[in-house]
Amino acid sequence: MNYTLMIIILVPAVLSLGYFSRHFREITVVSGAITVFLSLYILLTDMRDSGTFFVDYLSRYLIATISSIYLLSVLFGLGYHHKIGESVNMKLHLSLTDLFVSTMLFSVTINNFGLLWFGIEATTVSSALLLVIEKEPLKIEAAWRYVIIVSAGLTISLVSVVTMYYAFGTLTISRIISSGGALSELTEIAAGAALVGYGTKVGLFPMHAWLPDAHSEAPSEVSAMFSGVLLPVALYALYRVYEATADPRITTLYMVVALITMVFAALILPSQRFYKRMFAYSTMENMAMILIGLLAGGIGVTGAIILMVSHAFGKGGAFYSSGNVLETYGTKAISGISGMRERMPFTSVSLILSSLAVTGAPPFGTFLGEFLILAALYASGYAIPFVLALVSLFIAFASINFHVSRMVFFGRSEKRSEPSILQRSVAIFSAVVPLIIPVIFVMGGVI
Amino acid sequence: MIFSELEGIIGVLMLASTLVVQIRSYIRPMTNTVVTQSILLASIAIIIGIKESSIDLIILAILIIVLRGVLVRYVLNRRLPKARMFVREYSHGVTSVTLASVIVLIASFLVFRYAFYPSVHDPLGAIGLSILFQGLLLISTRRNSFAQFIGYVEEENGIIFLSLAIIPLPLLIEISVLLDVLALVIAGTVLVTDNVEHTRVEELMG
Repeated sequence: MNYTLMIIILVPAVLSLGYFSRHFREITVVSGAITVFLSLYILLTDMRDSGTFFVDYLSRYLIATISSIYLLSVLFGLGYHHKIGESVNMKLHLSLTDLFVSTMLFSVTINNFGLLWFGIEATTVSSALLLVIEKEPLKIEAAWRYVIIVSAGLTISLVSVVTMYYAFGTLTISRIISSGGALSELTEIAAGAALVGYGTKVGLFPMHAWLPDAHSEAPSEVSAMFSGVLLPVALYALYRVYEATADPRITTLYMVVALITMVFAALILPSQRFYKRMFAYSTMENMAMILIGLLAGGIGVTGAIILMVSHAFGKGGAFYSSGNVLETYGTKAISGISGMRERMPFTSVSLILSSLAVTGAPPFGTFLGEFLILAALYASGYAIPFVLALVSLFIAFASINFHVSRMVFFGRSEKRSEPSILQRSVAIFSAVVPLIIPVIFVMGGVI
Repeated sequence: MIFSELEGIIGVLMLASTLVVQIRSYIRPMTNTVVTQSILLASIAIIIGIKESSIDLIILAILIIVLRGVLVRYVLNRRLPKARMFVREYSHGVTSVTLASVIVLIASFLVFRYAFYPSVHDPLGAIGLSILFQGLLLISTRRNSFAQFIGYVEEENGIIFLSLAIIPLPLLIEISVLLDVLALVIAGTVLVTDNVEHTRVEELMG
């Protein structure tokens, strides 16, 4: 049994009991800090495991990303929700955030397909109520759609667990993957069911209906966690099933769905009227690109990991900045925002940086990740996917940056009002991290 | 032989219960029907448990009765408005829903026949797959929160039936699934407000 992994999962779960303490805020911050420290230890020591837990390169980066976004989101939330004070809602919110993180860490480390399914479903249960810290009808409606659509979808992925158990006689992930798998019609069913089930949570087309609603109505730090880490965790589950069941037909199926998702997101982005929904569709596009990288293999997998980590911080910055804009302007409509550069100079910078980051502008890590994925597609002879992905990326880049530029540079504003320094700092820090990620990967010898 | 016949009879009764749920308008009888379906599922687990001398399946059956038969029913009924006998969903498409239900039933049998049967060689799982799809149909055709929840519970019943018919999952996994459903029902009922009907919302479009 790997005790470091067990501790990193248990720390947020146990400290969620801070609900019963007056110092619940401080306890949650400490939980985040311990989790980040342990995740860096796991990453830097190149920890591997294939006993109770299954940890490889992908899990290590995911653990570090989940922990970092967790700490940033908690810090941001403390400023963002200051109006709520010490109400039960705030206590419950932080406590559920801890549990939510614990379930995500469990999902990316457990060495069993059945328990992986349980972990992913548990992320839905623990995060559902995070959307409704403010009990507005619209938020409740979005939370409901999230719960019912995602749960209904995830039940289908349970079919993949049953069929894999029948096909392989075990649910141990490391054993199935290392055996190379005895592929059959049943394993193809498993791969298809996982694509529908986990794909719902990833936000793949056409199962994505919950995603823009939940992201736009959730508090901004929760949107950041959803977009930056929850969806990659679901993608991790999908990729594990793919690793166990991959054959050329399944690769083609996954590639087609990922490409349709990218094209759909690119086509819907120009007509977006609300900035949080716009960033939600950008997440769909990025998740699809990461999946394409994982399917392409080779350097594409490295690109997918770089994109995943950079996107998590970049999108965190985008949603934290969106939260600051929402707090100041009181509207989510793009048309309702003008003169931002004068009214909110710091938030303008963080919003522009993060929107450039999530759209893959150089020199952000997302650019490097997307470049490597495209290179892998080209090298593998995927001509049509290469062209479709490139065109979709261009449309998404132009649409998002046009909308953000309109918010920041159009119009004038006399008065100046920014949210708390804590909120601004978290937003700008998160937006800047994707700039240094390529340096970290190059210095770490990954590329 | 007698065990197989019993499994078949109970499976058909479960399937009939899903069709009954599809055409019901009143929520409380709908809840009772799905609870009956869960108890039928527990009976199947007991029968297979006796046939294969598996104590795990007997434990699973007890858990299904306690968690789905008692607790889920309790949680759902508690959230129903005061005049719970008369809570109903006004549906204008009974004929089309019935037709869709029959089409889904035939489609799920065909999917099982051509995708699963060549590998598993046991037709019983077709019932589980049909119940799963009927649950999905219920969720997608109703706008009432309770009806959608019942669809979700049906879906979960279907997948457990499928696993019992093909290959029972390890008890730990089955328990996890059952607890997940219960936790989700509890979390979900917090989201059920007085307005239990879901409609199109301008801000959530596009």
